[in-house]
Amino acid sequence: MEVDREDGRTPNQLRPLACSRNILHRPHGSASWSQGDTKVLAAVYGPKAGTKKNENAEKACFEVIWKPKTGQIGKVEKEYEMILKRTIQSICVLTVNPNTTTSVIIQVVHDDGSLLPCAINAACAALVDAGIPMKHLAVAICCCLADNGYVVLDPNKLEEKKMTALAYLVFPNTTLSVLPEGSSVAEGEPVEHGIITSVTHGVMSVDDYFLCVENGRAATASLSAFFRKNFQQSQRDSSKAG
Amino acid sequence: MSTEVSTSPTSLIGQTVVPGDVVLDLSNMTNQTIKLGSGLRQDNDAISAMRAGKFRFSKPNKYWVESSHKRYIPRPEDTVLGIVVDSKSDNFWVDIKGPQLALLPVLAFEGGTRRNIPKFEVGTLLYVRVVKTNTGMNPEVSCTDASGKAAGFGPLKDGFMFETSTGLSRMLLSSPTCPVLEALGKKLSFETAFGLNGRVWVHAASPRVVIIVANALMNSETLSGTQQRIMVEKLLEKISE
Amino acid sequence: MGLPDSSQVLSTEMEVDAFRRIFPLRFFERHLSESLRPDARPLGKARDTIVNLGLVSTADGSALAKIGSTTMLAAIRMEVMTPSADSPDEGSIALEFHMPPICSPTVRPGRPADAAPVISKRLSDTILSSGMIDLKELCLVSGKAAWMGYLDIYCLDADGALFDAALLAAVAAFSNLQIPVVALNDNGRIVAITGGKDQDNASIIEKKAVNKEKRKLTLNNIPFSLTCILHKNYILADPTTEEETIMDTLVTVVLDSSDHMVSFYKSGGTVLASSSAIKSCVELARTRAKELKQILGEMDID
Repeated sequence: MEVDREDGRTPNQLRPLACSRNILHRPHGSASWSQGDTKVLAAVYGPKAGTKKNENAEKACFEVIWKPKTGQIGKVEKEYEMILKRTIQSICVLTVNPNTTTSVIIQVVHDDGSLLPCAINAACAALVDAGIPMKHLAVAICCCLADNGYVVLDPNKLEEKKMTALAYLVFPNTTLSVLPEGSSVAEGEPVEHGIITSVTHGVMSVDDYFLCVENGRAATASLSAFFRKNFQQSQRDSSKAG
Repeated sequence: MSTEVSTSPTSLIGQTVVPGDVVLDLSNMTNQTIKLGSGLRQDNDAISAMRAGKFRFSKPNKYWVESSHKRYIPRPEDTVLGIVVDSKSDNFWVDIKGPQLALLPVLAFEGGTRRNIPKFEVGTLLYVRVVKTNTGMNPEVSCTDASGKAAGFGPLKDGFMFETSTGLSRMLLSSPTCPVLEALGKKLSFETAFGLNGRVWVHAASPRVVIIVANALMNSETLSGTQQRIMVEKLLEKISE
Repeated sequence: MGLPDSSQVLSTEMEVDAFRRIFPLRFFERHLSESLRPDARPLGKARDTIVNLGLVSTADGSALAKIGSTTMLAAIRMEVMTPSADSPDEGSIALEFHMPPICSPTVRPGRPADAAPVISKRLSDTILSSGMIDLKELCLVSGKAAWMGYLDIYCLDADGALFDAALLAAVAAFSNLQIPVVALNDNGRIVAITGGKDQDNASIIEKKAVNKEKRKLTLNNIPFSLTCILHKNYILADPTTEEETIMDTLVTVVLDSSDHMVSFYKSGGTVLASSSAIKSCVELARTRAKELKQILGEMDID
């Protein structure tokens, strides 16, 4: 039996995506990313000289500030900040600007499910807008498990409440390459299929987790393609001069 | 495992790339020396993009990723507009919109000696040349050209400075002259200095002219050549009643 | 007589220490190529684990868990409160994880550690979602009174794998928990009854004690966790702080007694987790869960 989703989507279908870059004037890079009704604004300042205490001065340092839509900052926000900081640290090239700090500020505009993946995507787009050197992009997706064992992607808030378990997964983006096919393979699977970050809530069997990972991976291709097209569009709009 | 036959593109030159795209395969290009510009990094035999932008190639062997940002990455021999933030006994600290503050040695002026050290207040706008940039060290700038002459470097007095993106600065500095500058130059007389770090300085006899020129330049970022000329015409018409 | 020999021995010892400080990654990789770690453990083996119960006499349940040098002290205090309107039959648990300055030179007084609120949240998510505790067991009088358990976990020594040790301490503390006996007094409010020493109260206890039979919680599905480091092709189980700082890719797998995955937590890190790496981590976690089950079983905890 197929899973019936309220808004009529198929289990593997994502909500409509929208991304705009360079929307704020003061930050050095900014982006807004929305998946359906969930919308997150990200701003990047930096790189600025100097690192914080206890941080390695031979690498670039990142700090993340998460601002919820309402309410005070609590443990939930601190956890999101740490997950985002470690994810950003693993996708950026840290040796290019040693002894600098880059600040990423996330502002939640509306939360309708799948908030952390939306924020990771927004932060990535803002980093691209600011020109921070990166090894590759990060695409994040939320996969959840329904009672009957089906995997559903990108749930909204109502769907999230009904699910038995969910997993936030972050993968590297699918890249264009002039290398021949299959050259970047490690142990029989392409290097870019590895997971950067995974956070799960709720109990699921190990096989169900692997199913979530597979479905999430399949969705990264469409997310990467969206990002690339969005970027090309904005390039075309802004480079009609000479 | 994958059923689709995907062909890897043979060349990404002239195309928009995002970070992670492998743009060059060095194993095919032995016996060549190539120069890698901004936005590219080497990973054994593959050159991949670190920034999103257009992948450009210029004969004979230069590759780079062109993109426009609000911050500037210092490169030697670039001319930039810096603002003095501090002065020490042997260096001025100058902000050039990069990841680190730049150092301007006190003697880096034409005919500079210990006796005639210029006194720059905090906030002075300077037109300087980037001398050297090493990873991890503060970049060094100088108010002389390579042969030691002043060549227009130094403090810029009066006028108005505004900030733009690095892409717009590059466009305004390109040769042949940018259409918007040509069109403005035909009707108005003004003086400008462009820094590759996204700062532009405009000076003219009356504030009216300064404002017209500044607005025209700021609006011209996303316009094509003809659109720029039309925009300037409309602006000048409106102003001259 | 032995002087030239001992000075040679001294000089090679110094070199090893200096090498460990100056080139930590190469030092570890030399060991990894021989499938060993500096403390002579094989790659997949966790450190010695000890659990002690009932150390804090003023708490209703307490436990001390040591994994290698990492030491966690957990204590539970139960208090009666009114349950919320949308779940009148359920009690609740408030979990707090503290990292006092004693645990690590990087934690200074006045500046709370970055890791503390994150571990605190992860622990409470794991314990609540694993279903180890049935909150309905904490109910006293439906709609009027229920137990609130304040679980505090103090890190006394932070030497890597903090989440594993904290979870173990929390589980052990819950198994050690003795819910205090209470009775309804005349005003309809719950009062605590002290230990039964008082002869006058003996009869009262017989008549009014509301929960004389149910003093211990039943623990279903106990979660067991294992943190591993991924480094190139190696997977190291149960890292120390030194290993965690040098190789930054950590994966935490939490399995429960029915072999379901409660949590798979990987937060960034230079190495990407491929499917084979995930499988190996889960396997290591399974072995570790069996070990921990045995350790807890030796203390008569089911």
